[in-house]
Amino acid sequence: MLAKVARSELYKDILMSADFVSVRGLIFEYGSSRALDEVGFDLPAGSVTALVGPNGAGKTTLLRCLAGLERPLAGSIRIDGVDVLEQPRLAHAKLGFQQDFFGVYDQLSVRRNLLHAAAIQGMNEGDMESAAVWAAEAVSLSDRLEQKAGTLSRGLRQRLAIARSMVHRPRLLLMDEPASGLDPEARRELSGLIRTLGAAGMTLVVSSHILAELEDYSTHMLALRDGHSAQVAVLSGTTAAKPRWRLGLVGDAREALAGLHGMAEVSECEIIDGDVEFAFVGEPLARHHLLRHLVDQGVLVTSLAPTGGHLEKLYMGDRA
Amino acid sequence: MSNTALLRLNPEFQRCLWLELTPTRLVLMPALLAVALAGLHLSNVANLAEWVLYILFFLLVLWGGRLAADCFVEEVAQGTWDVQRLSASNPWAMALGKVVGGTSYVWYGALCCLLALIVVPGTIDFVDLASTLVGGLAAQATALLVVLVLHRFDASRRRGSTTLAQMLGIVAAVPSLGPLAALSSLAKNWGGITQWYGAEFALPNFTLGHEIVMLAWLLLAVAWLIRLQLGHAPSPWPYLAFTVYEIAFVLGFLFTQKLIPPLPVMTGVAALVAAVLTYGAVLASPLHVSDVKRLLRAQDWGRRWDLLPSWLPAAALAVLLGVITVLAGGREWTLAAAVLALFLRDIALVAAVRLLARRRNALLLCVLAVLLYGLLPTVLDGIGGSNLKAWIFPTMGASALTLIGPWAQAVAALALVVMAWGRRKGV
Repeated sequence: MLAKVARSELYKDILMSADFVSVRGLIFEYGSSRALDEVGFDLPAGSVTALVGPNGAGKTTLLRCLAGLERPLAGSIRIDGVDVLEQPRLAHAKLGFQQDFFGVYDQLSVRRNLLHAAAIQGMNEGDMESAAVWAAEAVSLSDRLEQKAGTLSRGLRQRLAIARSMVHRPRLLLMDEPASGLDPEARRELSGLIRTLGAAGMTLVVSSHILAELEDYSTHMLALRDGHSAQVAVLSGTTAAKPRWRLGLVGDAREALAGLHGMAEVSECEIIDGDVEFAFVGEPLARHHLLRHLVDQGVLVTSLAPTGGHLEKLYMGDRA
Repeated sequence: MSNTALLRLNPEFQRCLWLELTPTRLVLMPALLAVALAGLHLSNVANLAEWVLYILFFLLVLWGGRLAADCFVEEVAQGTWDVQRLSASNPWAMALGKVVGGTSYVWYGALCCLLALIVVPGTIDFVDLASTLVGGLAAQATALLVVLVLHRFDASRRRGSTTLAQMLGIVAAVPSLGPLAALSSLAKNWGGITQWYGAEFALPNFTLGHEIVMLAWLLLAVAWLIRLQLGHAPSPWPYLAFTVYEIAFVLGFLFTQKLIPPLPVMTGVAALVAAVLTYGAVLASPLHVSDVKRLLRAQDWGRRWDLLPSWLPAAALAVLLGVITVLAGGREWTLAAAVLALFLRDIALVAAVRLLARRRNALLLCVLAVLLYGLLPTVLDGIGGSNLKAWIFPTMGASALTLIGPWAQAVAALALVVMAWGRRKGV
């Protein structure tokens, strides 16, 4: 998926506020059961937030509340300064929501689906056509613009649903299980698209059960447990916890450990199955210096790779 | 106007045009109409224009009502309604887009019929034609309104409401709107004239005028329900305004050329209209626990007003007008007190049934209505005459002691609501 977007083009007027999305004391009930209980958090502009939590934790309900589709019992939701409960239509113009079902008009062509989505969000007449083409291109549907949505495969309909949700270039894009129904190649492309949109300044909240995928592009994690609490953790940036790296070795790992202890950027070293794991920012030049230092020390290094599962560890640690 | 210009102006209307007016269908409609009219002509029908009017009625009222209801029901079934609810569009534009756009195919057929009227033999009355066109639009708006109301009861309901909506749409358009207008329309063939606020009107013109005003109210109701779906807080203003309008409309019939009705008659009739409309709104409104909790948690009066169910101000108005009627010497206070007790009892019973019965609560309410308003009063009247009947039903000339009966029922119904609330309110 090619998303030709740039921060300067799309979101030049967005102030990088720390509370672009601000939720306070959110309570939501289905009948007599409470789905969200005093949930509150802030998300900064331009962040890509992984919304995680077990089944039934209230992820979809939270997304629907953020989108103004559900009216909470109490609490407030502000998006880019707009109170979603007081001015839902103004908020709708600022956000896009890709839901866990397709929500496309089967009898209409891809182009008309996208034009309609752009029109209901109040786009100018002159911008609608180019926006439809841009969104189709972003999800690799450019060659199917005149095809009816009903004739598309499940995965392509999913892509169309994503394109519909972002055609008006919203400031906040909410995605509920966007990768479900997509093949591995399309999933990889989706990750690329989310990264590109995030890099262009769009704020995204993505709900998924596949933590490895979320880790690819998320800058923040929002964990929800039985609707009772929301915790935001920073995954990247200056305030994020350092990622962990694994050093493959031949020989005694204690020598490598001793070599690493002298380095300022390295912390939390431990020996695991004969290899060494440690926390390290991991910029390319810093990696080069680290490896050179170890080789100079006579350590027999075979590999250096990120451990992965950072998000999963954070999530599981949060659970514990 | 280009596609995108219309799309910008009213996205829902353009979407419906895309779906409804396909090239094949555009050719099919005039072809079928031509075949039908040719068949009628060959059958030596004298006034073919009158038959065109029947075809118009079929297209706009029977078929149009179904299309209008389907326009919404299909969206819910396909899961696109939630996407529409994320719209930044104006609710009025969406309401008009759905009513006129969803039925654009039958309006295309109606246009063909109007063109046919120029060439076919026979004549029709202009008011009849206008009444059919306005009635068709009213039928379509009513059908859409009904499915929107049913959706409020059960948002997960996918299908099954179209036929009911279509039937109520037909009722709304036969031949006009509301029993009074319907009667006046029937009476037009007797060459009747009606008086309203002392002025004389030819019945067909009066009926048509009332149809147009009611159509505006129907469109307001559709737009208001769509506004609610787009995430806005409900507000009882529109229904209160409609209640006041209906009171004013009905009171107009009490005035004859030089006779102004006495105050208790006017307030009594007004109270009755407000009470009837309260019953209508109570029965057409779901009772969601979260809505009540939201109202109870509201911090200020403005917010509380916005969250009030639409029937509550109408009910308060009915009670106020009833009190004025009694104070002005219109009715004995015991009768009014008994009526008030049953009014409270009925509202409480509907609330209790809505809270307790998850399914078939419409059937349960029908059974209760037959029991409380038909069976029990008749049986007691048969056993002990009006003296015994007064213990459960408002009766003229009954002693003050019999008020214990209706008020005991009201208290019991309210206690049932409190019990049901305790059971359903959760945390």
